[in-house]
Amino acid sequence: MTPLKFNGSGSEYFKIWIVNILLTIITLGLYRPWAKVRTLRYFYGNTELDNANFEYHATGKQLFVSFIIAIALLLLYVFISRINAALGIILPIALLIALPWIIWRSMKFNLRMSSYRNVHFGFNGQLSGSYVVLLAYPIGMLLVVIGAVSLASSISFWLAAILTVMAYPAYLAMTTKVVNSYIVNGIHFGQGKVNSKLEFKPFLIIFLKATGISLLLLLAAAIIFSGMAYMSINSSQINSLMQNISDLGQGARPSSLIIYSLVVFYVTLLLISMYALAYTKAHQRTYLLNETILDNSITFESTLTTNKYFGVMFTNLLLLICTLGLAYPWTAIRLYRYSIESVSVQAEQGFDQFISTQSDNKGPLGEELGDAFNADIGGLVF
Amino acid sequence: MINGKLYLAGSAKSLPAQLHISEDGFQLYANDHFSMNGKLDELEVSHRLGNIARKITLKDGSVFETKANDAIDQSLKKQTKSSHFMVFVHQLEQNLTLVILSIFIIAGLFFSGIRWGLPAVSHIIAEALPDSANQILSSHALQFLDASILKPSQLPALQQDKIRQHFEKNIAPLYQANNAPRFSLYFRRWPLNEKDSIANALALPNGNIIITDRFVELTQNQSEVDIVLLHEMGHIVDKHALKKVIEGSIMTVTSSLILGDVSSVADLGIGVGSFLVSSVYSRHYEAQADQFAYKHALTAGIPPSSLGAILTRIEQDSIGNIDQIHDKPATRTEENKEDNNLSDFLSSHPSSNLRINMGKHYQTCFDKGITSCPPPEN
Repeated sequence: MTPLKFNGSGSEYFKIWIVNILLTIITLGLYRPWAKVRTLRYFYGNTELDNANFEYHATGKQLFVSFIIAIALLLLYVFISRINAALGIILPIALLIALPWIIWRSMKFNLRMSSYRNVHFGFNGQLSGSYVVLLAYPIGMLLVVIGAVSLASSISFWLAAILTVMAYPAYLAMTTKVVNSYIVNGIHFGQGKVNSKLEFKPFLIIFLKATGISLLLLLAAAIIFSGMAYMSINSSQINSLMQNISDLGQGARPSSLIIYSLVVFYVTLLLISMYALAYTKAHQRTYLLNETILDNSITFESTLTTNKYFGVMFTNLLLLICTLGLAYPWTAIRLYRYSIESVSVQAEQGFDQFISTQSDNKGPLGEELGDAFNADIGGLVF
Repeated sequence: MINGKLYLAGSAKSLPAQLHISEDGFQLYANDHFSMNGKLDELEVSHRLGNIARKITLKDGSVFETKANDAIDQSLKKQTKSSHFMVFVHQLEQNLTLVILSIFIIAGLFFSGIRWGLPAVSHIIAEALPDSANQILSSHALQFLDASILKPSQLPALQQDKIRQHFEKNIAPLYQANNAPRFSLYFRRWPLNEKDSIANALALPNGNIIITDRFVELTQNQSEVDIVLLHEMGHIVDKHALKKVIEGSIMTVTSSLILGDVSSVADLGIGVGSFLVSSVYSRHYEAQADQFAYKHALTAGIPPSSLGAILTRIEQDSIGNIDQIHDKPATRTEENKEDNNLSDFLSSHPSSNLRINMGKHYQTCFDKGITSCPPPEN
């Protein structure tokens, strides 16, 4: 097993990042495609496996036209949805329908633009498959769940409540399974195809455990805070707090105690969801990489652990807050380094037999639209 | 001589190789098996970026890869295919002083962009947009308000007619311009609970002004009604609603443009930041509408202090409502006074003190009998 290695450093990336921002501001945003290329080249170029690095090939010039189209559409979208309430409802639906196309085009472009040892990656997934896993599955399952819950609620409230709680992890597990199957099995490296046989059950177990852990942490936090509140606040303060809360409904201004308790509540929720995220990410990755095989011979392994991943995310958050965001490059490098270096690859015959294959070359419009509209694939393990 | 690896076109298999560069051209030796040579302008060299491996693509598609970045930069300095601009960007990145300076330049540009750039741009766009933009913005707005929070007015029809006639005859004509919108006045009740209702005045971008029953009840004379209506006219004339929409749109897009690769945790910061910025803009617009009201009040002979008087009464009325509900007459504790600092910071309206001071300034002019008063310096 050979682990991946990352050679980038925070201070080096900081310089690239700050120059990117400076040039982007000075050019009123026009430099952005070049900035993006430099960032991606830096991360790819410093990622190393077996003494050879990955590479990102797109150029700023190549991205530019699509970038302009995407930004123009985004401006139009934001402006129209603010100016007219009716269109503000229609536009997100239109975007939802376009999303599978955007993701599909962007997968094709990004993998085509990536290479390792002079051999390009590619994506063979069908557009129809993208619509099935990103639209048909989520909407269909949502309808089934709503139908089942409303049927159950006519029988008993508690049955409906239990069904709702159970349906959420099942829904997540199913969508994660189909999306990752579609994406991972569509990838190829040269002539080598990636194969991954993913099942519903392991994902369900991961999500159920994550839900359980979140609920336990929430309970623990509730006990700690109510204990602290009981010890430190006297009853008149509680009365005035309750008074203020009920005043809020009448348009009164919130007291500082309420604002501070809201902040504490918010931070607690943030940390718990961060931990749940780290848990699902670590376990999903271990499962997915174990099941994945490239060209019927090359296998993978992940050693990412929940606690360490959470630790990196948590300290990153502190760093960002303390430096008002200036530490962003270091935090990005730390997170990337940990998640990359926890992956190992077993390639007994090496990579010499791979050769680049022709694949249909799609332009960067999908990628730039996805970037502008912040279109992420929910539940993608990588 | 530069050591590296040679990949044949499209293949993952590599051979150790050496590249020699001279004035006339290059020679490439791969593992003693064979050699290639050619002119320098046949080589396509990737841009320097940190210390990641450099790729030199040959005419036949094979790739020479090396980590000897400095040697490549030196021997291929005159090579013209490499973009000068990217060389410049790399030099910027190497220059620590410039990098540190950049932080301050970025902070300065960012601040001035928010302080002056964005309001100026949104002003230009708002003025350039046809009047139909304002119509779209307020289409169905009144119906929506009627269906959701507002109820029909319970004021006697006679009183409504009197106020409306006075407004149409004496107040609306105070603003004369080519493209002046048609101002129309609507009376509504804004219920808070079964007993009480809210005192307020609203302006829709197409010229519709709504005043609530409670507001009319609270006013003590005609001047107070007039000056609040002038304030609302100020919002409409200066297209404040449209400008807010434009500012919000631009802010959303540019923040994602500049900080595009920042993670979702930082999105949170952007959200809070743009909320603060938009409340600052909001306060600016309230102050602007106040000035509009004062200016026209002076020409119409309405005492400017009326605005402060009625606003204070409206504020007390909203506090009074809450106290009544809880049978807690005016026991605002010390704690609440401190809180106001924080709340003021988050508030969309200028603090009452600021407004009252501005009112006093215009009142002085009024008392001296001046009809055009320069805005106060602050």
